[in-house]
Amino acid sequence: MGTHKNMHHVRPGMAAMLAVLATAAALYGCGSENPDAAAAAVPTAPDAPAAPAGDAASAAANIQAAWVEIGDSNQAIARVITSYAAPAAAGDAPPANAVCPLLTVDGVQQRMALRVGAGTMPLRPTASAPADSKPSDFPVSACETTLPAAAAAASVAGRALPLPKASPRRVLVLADTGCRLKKADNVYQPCSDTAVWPFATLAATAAAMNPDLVLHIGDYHYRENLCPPDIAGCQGTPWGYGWDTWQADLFRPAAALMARAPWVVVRGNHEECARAGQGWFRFLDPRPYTEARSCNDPANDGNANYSEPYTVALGTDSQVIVFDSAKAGKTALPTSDPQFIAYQKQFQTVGWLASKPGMVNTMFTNHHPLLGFAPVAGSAPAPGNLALQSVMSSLNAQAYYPPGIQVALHGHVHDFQAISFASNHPATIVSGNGGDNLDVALPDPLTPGAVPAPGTTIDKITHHNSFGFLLMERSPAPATGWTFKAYSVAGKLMATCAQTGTTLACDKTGFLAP
Amino acid sequence: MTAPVSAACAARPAGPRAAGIRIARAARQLAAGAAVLAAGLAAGAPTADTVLTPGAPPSVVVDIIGNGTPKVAARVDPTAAVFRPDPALAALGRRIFFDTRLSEPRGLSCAGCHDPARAFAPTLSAAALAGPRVPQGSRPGHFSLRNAPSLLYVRYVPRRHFYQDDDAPYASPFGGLFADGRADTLAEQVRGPLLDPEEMNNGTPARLLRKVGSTELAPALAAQFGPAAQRDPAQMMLALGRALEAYLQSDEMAPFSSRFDDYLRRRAPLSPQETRGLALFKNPDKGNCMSCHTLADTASRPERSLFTDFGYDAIAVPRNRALPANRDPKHFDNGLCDTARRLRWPEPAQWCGYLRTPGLRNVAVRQSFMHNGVFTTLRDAVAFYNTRSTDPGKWYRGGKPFDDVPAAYRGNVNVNATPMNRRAGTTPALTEAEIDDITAFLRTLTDAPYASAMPPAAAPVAARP
Repeated sequence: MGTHKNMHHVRPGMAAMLAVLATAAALYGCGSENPDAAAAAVPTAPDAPAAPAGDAASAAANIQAAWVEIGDSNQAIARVITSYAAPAAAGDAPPANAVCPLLTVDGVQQRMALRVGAGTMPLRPTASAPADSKPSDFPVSACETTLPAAAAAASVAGRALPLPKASPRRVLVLADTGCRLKKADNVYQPCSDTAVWPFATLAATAAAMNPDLVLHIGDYHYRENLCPPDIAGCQGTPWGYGWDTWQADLFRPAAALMARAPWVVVRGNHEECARAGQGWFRFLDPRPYTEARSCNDPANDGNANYSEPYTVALGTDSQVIVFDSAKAGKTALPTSDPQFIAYQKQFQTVGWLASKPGMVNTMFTNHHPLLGFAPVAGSAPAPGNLALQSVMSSLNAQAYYPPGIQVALHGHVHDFQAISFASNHPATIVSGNGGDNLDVALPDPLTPGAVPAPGTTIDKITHHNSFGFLLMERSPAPATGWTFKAYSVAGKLMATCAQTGTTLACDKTGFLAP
Repeated sequence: MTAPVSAACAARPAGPRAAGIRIARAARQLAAGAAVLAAGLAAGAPTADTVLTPGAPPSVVVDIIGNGTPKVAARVDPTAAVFRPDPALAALGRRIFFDTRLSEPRGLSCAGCHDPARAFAPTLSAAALAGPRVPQGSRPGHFSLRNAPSLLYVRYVPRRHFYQDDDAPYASPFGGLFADGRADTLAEQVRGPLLDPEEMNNGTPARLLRKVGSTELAPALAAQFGPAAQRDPAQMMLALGRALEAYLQSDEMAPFSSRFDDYLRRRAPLSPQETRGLALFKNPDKGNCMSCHTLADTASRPERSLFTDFGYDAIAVPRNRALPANRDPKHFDNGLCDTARRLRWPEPAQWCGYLRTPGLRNVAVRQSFMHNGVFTTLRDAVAFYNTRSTDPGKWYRGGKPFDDVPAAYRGNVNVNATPMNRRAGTTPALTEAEIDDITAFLRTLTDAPYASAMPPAAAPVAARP
């Protein structure tokens, strides 16, 4: 199912009589002073059109973030987060979309549609005690417009938006990028120290690689609890689940990367309803916003913690199946469990999506590793997610995945893993080293007999636990696969893995020293 | 997921996840569900909540492991602890601590192994220095089975508990006194040295009661705890424990007066070499020390920098063949698993080789290092982590790794955490100069009164390009 947004066409300059003058300077994602690590400067397209003159809602200063994401049915959706509040005319409430800026697509201006307006959501049960929680304040509105497939240029508030390429060749993959403030763990990552929380640096390095598409595999938001007053390293950083934390954890540090390429967004466990689910639905979820799927009312969590899988095309011969595992637990599920039933139905859909004719490469992506490892110091690594494995095996036995899937991409574990199986299972890559505190490394050599799931046999594994990201590049013809390159934060190439079908051939194996 | 926690040591960490930690090292298989017993089954078993450090709010107990170890909903926060021991009781504890009449034969006090001139760490006798490098007991030729820790900051060690970050695959154990966590509280801990035949050698509480009864300590204990403390061995042991606990919880035992504390509180600068050492100590790709020896160098409260997460790890330091017990090649100090068996934790053998991560404050004044005293210099202790896996022949006799861990338990050893995770023959994570830098940084953790107890520093290393 797709989004169906009204596109309100407005003649340029029409709103000028009512509007205050637009503020000139604008940076993506920078609507206020940056208390954290300095985000990389956003490149300005030399041919970016000027902001619509005189339209107050389109004033650059209002625009807190602007990006394009690819959703269901390959629809490219322009999204904007704006702090603009439209003045009410005498006696009348302004139209809902009045807060949204004008979007220019191929020279035609149209007002974006309101996805969800500003508001403060009452306190709901969260992952923290009530005393350590607060209402989620969203003093910003989210606007969106589905872009025509043939759009050649789009801009908002004077800034060009990146448009999807018909056949992307470079896909940037990252996950687990936020700065951890978690009282239960007594862990307060110094968000202002780029050596300790390097996401802004990482995003800048990644943006400089000119990706055609960005795939974020979940866990965008980690600032859940108040920084204690004696810790300078996180002092003043926002906390909770409102806009300010989303801005600090994602939209500000990732601004350069959001300006560079469209994103595909995968939901992580940090975006389940009791955590940052409200922001997920306001800002990132590609489907239409509804109150039932907002995470505002915990009575709806049983619905809103799950999303139907969908595909994103990578040209005509490759696709990515996006799966929401935000609420997946740690143990195998009884078949009568509602979660089992929900996930089983979704994996049936995955099987159908993977069977699309003409696909040479189908990649499956979700947050929790399914046939990857969770390292445990002094022990064999823990297997993939047992809850989802129990569902997958109910449909596909020890094949786990349905036929037609060549590669699986995950986050959640804060390291990098590239696994090629001797058994007939999809090559599995974990790229969860995007900025949050790292996990320990896997043993090198891997613990004898260690497998991520019964019935799997590992041929080769390449791994490391330094901060970094992954770049997928389409292999030049006549090859039909993709090449996966693991990079450090600074852009050092750590390993290159060539995919053919379900196998990966990496130029290095075992642990990669930084 | 995270690694914040002890998981970075084993799980994530705290980023030393942490994590850890996320948060890390100690995240181990724990079939928690199978281990649950009703909370009331064991004496002293925690109920719905339990206090893990004095003065701290109760921790929410989410499960009971074995016969009474709580699994709690949140990590211990040392800044939440409040220590207000009764001054009279602390004074009595101090008297007991320095009393040389409480050993058999008389002559060895608690201070004999926890020297107040050496940050309450041992000043080794000539025999110990020439021999096993662990403290000598009250009898010549008898030596403690393990090295003695500094008692400064011991008040922050929480009671035994498990914690599992929501991203960690398994729960990890934390806290408890002794390197193997066999005592739950300081009051319980004092039984160990007082009765241990290799230490103060009093044998039984009854024998100790006879000894105490002949001193003015007996009426003093009775004044605090009632007449039973003078006639009931168990009550007397409890009274001694409570008094010593009060002393160890006094502010005298947590001075926070090191140069690093000055750095935390008022940004008093460290030298360039010390600054490099701090960065290497934190860097997850280099020393990665912070993943277990936790600190918060941007926090002004020094309790956040105790240089331990109170977790457990199996790092397999080399066998100290000078330890008398190690003359028996079949003898091994298995650490936490002995405690795990007694407490009926599931699969206790998984904890063999695990020892509690010690705090590093005042580590530079020590005369021997690691739980078995195997190293004689701080630099060697640091260097061991760096090349344990890349050059095992440097550390283990015959180049056979993990020679102080029984073969059956060598799979428990942490081979995951940087820098101990590299293959033999590969380049270590740290250069020799970087080891010097970390060593220099560790010297800044020495409290002011003990600065003169440190051996001379190596010649400062010039800044490298």
